[in-house]
Amino acid sequence: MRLLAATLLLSVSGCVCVAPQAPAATGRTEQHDLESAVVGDTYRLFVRLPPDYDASPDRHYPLIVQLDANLDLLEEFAVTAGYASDLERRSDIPSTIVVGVGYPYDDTQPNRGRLRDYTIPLQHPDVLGGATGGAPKFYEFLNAELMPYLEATYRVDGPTGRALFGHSLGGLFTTWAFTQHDPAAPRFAAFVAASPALHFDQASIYSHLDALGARTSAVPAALSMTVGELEGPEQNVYFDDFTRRLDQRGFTGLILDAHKYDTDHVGTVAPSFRDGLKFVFANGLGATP
Amino acid sequence: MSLALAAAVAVLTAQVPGPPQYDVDLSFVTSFGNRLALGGVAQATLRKQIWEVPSVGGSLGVGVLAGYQAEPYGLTAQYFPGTKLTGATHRFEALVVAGHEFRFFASRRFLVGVQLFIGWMQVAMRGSLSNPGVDVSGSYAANAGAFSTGAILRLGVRLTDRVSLLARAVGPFPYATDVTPYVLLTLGVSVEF
Repeated sequence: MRLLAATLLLSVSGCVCVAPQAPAATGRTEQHDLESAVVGDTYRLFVRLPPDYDASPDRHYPLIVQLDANLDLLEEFAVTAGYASDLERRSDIPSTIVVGVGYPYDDTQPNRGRLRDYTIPLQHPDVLGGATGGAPKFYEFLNAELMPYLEATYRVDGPTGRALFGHSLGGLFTTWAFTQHDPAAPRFAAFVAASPALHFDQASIYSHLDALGARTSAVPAALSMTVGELEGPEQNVYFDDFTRRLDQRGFTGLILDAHKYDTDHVGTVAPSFRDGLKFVFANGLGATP
Repeated sequence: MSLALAAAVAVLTAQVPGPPQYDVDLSFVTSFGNRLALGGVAQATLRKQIWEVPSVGGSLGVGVLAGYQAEPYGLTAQYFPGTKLTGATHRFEALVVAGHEFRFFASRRFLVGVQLFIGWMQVAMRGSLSNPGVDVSGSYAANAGAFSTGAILRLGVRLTDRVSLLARAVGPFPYATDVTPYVLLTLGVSVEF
């Protein structure tokens, strides 16, 4: 039943899945392991540099941070790096660095890291087994360890040129990261939350939205949220309600796109990240120094 | 090589004259996937034995399969505490099947078969959700259908001259669609006419 529980969030493990299809990535791809003192674990980073990166030594590039980079079956880094390559070739988006954050675990533990890192602080007992509510620590890792590492290693833009992409639990974390917006120190300018598991922890993500509203009335960011029509009521009803409340709050500067695809949970990965890339760049990612 | 194979089949076929047989299968269905399902399938197959040796007989069959499964959202309610989920996904299949079947031992008591299918699968999703804790309440509906292809593994044991216990695994092949991300497991009886 624990498998079922994890599957409810992933909707991946138990199904005969159609792996997301994406164009092949162009440019240069690198892989590094980065130890985190904050989390106490090691992350596997997948870095895609655009074809013109080496020939433009003075240029800095927008940065897409992709969660669940090497999650079995979904391979979300490959999807986003592939679509970034394709959209660059079509001149739909500028040259972009894509960094996937994954885990060095073997396939027998596909959920270990993501259940720890992508689950928002627990306000109710865990019913999944393994969810720790470690999102704040992982967020600190992103900001205090990953970003300095990337800034020292690659020519990446500052926060106005950075976007966070996640799916399912990764989409929940992405939504939660959006609610952590700090006007004094913004971390990301854009977010793509695909099929976010808003139902997690009895939908306690709502309390973080309320807290954001109490903290500020201005959130200058682009936020794309997506869901699949065939994902069932626990995904669709929360999605409809959450995006409606977000819209009603009228945050100054927020560009919200709520979109439904005619597919299931796994099927939202490719179109969400493909369209998400176009969305974040069309709405100012990297346009402001 | 193919001539030799054809000749062998012809010889074997010549050894097993007889009229085609009709099988009717009725089975209970569950599934494993991202939902729990309950339902049934019925299949009618026209089967002709085409070869046999002392311990094994082989037959080709074509038929039709119709099925329905309900996936009640309430079956997963324990993973959504604080949330009331109602409704279900209703899944329908109408398939054409064709395949080959082995029947083993002199009694032909045990059967193993593989069939390929092509047909239509349709889902109708109807439900609602409420969570007073965050003041969320709403209904949900979605429909989708798709042509699907796949394979069926059949395992059976003859209980009487005409009745067999039959288990099947039905899965999409080579590709799943948004509508068919499931492997159906069936258990029921097959009646031979």
